Amino acid sequence: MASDTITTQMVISKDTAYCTEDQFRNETGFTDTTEFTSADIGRKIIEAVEKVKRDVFVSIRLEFTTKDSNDRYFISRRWLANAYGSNVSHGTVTPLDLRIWESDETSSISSAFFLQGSRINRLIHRVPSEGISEIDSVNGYFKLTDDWPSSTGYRIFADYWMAGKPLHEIETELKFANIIWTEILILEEKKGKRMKNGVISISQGGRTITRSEAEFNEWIRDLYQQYQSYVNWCRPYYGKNITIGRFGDRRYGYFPRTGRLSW
Amino acid sequence: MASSVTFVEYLGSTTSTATSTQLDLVSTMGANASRSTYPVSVGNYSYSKVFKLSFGGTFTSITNIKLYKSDGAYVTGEVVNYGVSSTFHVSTGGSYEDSVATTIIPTSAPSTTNVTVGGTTTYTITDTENTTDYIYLQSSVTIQSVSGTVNSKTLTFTWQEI
Repeated sequence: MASDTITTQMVISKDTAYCTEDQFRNETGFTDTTEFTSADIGRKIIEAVEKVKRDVFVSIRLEFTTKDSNDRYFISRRWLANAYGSNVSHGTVTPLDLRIWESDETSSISSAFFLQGSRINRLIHRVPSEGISEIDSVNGYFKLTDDWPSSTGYRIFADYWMAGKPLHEIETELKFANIIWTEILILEEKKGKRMKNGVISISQGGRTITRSEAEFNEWIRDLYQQYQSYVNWCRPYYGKNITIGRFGDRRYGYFPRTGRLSW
Repeated sequence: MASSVTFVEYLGSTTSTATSTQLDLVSTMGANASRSTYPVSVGNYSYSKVFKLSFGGTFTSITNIKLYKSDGAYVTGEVVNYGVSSTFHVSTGGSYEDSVATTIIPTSAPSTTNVTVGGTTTYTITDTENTTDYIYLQSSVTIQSVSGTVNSKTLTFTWQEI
């Protein structure tokens, strides 16, 4: 019997942002590591991630889930997205992006939630992230480990975040939104600190760019327009516009139902 | 003299090939690609490796080729699947599972051959017909996995040679 061998290995990553520092520097041209330090850019990228998540994703709170015969807990809407306020972003949906709650179905608590009644005794218990064994972000369900719910018959509620398209389809848009908002954060900071007599300067690689505040604001506004176009592409349509009169409740933006983002 | 094996990897077509010295599973299509440059994100599949065993050296015939994982433990949420097919398809990865690589690699030598030639398990490799069918290899990483470098795994191929 003859034989031969070959090895296989891999590295598993959990991304903390939708873009990397290298991608940011390459796309924006902020390549000077002295003027724009890695620590500062890294911090602003993370801040921008939270901003992007707030603008792009919509949160659904305490929704009743429906369990099927395969112990799959279904949520009503899709597509699942990353939780905001968690300071982590994996670019894919993980247990950290869901908040699962359980409560006693036989008490008034569950029905009070369901009916949105006034007699709400908010005795719910958080199922830890480790209690989520599987997530299907396309079909919109999750499974729990054998330990949960902690008592048979307890109802399961879910907090989750949704995007307008499957997360893996909007990787590029999220990346650029992340990059652009990071750039805006940097420019806003530089604007305040470098302004002298209404003139702002940024130095990089031995060269200095000097612009008036009006020109600088125009630059930032242009970036914001780009940012908004990416956000509008990704965010879900959630809610309903009501038109009163001729142009009574028209919203701003290129698409009529995208709504206006405040900055 | 005995036979020798070359691992021939196919990169997107049957005419684009490269010789592999390792089969690291990465998030791009490429032979001997760096695993740290192309890590696999949690909740995703690696790009499937498509390769053949090409036999050289001196031999009369080779039969009964077997593939198994002889060393290297999985980490939580990690699985490496394989599959063999006589037809070629382009590597898939990211959100997409390879349509052939769907069987977990056995951890000991199977009792019968699990690498086919010409679509059949009853075959003989000769000097003129010296390659196996396409072997597909793909890893999946669930959301439960933690980041970092996983254990190296040794894939062992055995065969009977005359």
